[in-house]
Amino acid sequence: MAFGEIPVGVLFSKSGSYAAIGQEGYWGARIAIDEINASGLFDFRFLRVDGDPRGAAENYAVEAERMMREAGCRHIIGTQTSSSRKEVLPVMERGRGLLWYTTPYEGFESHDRVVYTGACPNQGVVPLFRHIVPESGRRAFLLGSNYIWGWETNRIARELLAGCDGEVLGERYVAIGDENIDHLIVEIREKRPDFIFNNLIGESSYAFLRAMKQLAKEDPAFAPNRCPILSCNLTEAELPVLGAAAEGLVSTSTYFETLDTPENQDFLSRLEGLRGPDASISSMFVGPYEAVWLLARAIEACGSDAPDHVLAELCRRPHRTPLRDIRIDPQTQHAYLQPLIAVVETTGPERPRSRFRIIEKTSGPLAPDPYLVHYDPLESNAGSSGEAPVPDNGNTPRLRLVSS
Amino acid sequence: MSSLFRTPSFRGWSATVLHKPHSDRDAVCRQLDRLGIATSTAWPELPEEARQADLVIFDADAGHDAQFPWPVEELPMPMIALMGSEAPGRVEWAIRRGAIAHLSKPIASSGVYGALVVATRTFAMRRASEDRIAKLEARLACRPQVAEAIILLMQHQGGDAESAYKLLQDMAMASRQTMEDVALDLLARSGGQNAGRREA
Repeated sequence: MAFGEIPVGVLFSKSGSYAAIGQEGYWGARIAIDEINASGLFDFRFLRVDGDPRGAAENYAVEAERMMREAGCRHIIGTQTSSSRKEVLPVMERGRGLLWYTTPYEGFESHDRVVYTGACPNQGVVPLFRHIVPESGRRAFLLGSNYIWGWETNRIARELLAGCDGEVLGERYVAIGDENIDHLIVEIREKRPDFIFNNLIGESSYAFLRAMKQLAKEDPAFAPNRCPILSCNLTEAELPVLGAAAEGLVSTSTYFETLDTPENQDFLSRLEGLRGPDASISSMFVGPYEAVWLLARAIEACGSDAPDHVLAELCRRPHRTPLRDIRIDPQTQHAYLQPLIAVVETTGPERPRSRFRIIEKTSGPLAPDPYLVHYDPLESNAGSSGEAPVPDNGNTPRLRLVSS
Repeated sequence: MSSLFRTPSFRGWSATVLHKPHSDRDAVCRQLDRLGIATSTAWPELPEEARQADLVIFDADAGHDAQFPWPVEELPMPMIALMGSEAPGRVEWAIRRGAIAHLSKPIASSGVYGALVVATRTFAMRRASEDRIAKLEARLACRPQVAEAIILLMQHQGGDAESAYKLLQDMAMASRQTMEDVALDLLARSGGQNAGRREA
């Protein structure tokens, strides 16, 4: 069957306040489209349709509408913040299109017109806490930028800590973009937590991390090995901005550049040719890149680019991308993902640029659980409900970190 | 830690959806399924077994009282109305029938989880208030016995009403009972005329 050209929307903010990650997403999708078109593997070509909402949530629906109505796109790769995704959902519903959302997010959504390939909390914050609490302690300080990502992620953190008799020594929020963080440093210095969970974003986060580095110089009790700083969304894209301030930060993601597989080695050497040796590759790039490949594989397998057919095919069996096979759960339309935990090593004589050293890998892909329906990550294999269902009125079971 | 907010989970719950076969009904069932809820559907009437469900979701547009196997005063579980029409008579009926949350038609891919959290929380609060009111009413009904016990204590101790009241309060505190229960005990032991009788 010949399809000719299939238009695909690429919807990222290449300008505006979070252009750094928007650019990564854009290039991930763009390079995958170019690779697919040049591969000779498919009897169709993708036609890239770009849109730049410039970081303003209200522009996303307008751009998505234009892609569907004027350019005939039925698949759109993109949106990164939850607010921008929510803006696009009604457009996808009306046009019966499919949005490919590839960013880690706070969960509690499962929309018929979306394929989710970024981590939800059971694939991010839960494994991160399971790693750090036994190692560093149970007394945490929670921070966030004042919007849904920080609120919800910290709420889950609170619940995780309560489940292991931990303690929240403080929970503070600052406005997005606010760099006035001295009061946080004062409070952290006074409370002396075992670790800090940082859900600040952008400039606030950079200012905080630099100030913490200064504090660690004055007081070694705040050095990364004694009071680590955790993040759920720090990627390679932000390491150059942070420089030495990133040393020792712990982050979780489903992709790090240092992932040690032959597929990743091939992938990185191909990209080095395309983007130059200085460009680092992050999950913000890999997410859209893999999504475009999944789309191509599913169209090839089912012989149609109709969103409902593509979705059914995706949910039928795992599909191959240049990095790994990806399986989509039919019930939630979220991906099975393998959480990784890594610590930042900054530049040194043997290292020209900062990188993440992977310190923990879960044994295999973890089933998505966006509503935390099956949450009890240590007691049972997350994602499979082994025990008999018991009505629990929202009180049990609790998120657990350690069984004792 | 008891005040800690926990992520509401509905895994293992059962729900009955009272709605004619329709894409709206399918959309609701799909969302319930994702939350780990065992769902059954019914139309045009709810079967008697629906009383055992943890949750009932019903159509407010074409719904009427005869569809329910329980009387309108009874609210056996949290209920959510599916509303297309917002005509005040329909909304009023849904509320009277026990809806404590609603979803607007057409049903899209979201909304059920939020409505469920609202409905179950409201239902639990309503239950707690009803229990509290029932307890307070029972205590109020014992006012004559409390008065009688105070008179009894005044006669025995020779003090005034205020110190007799204080004594009754201390006895209640020490035995971890309500003052009303202590008063009833006292009257029973002294063979008083209202002993052991709680008047409504």
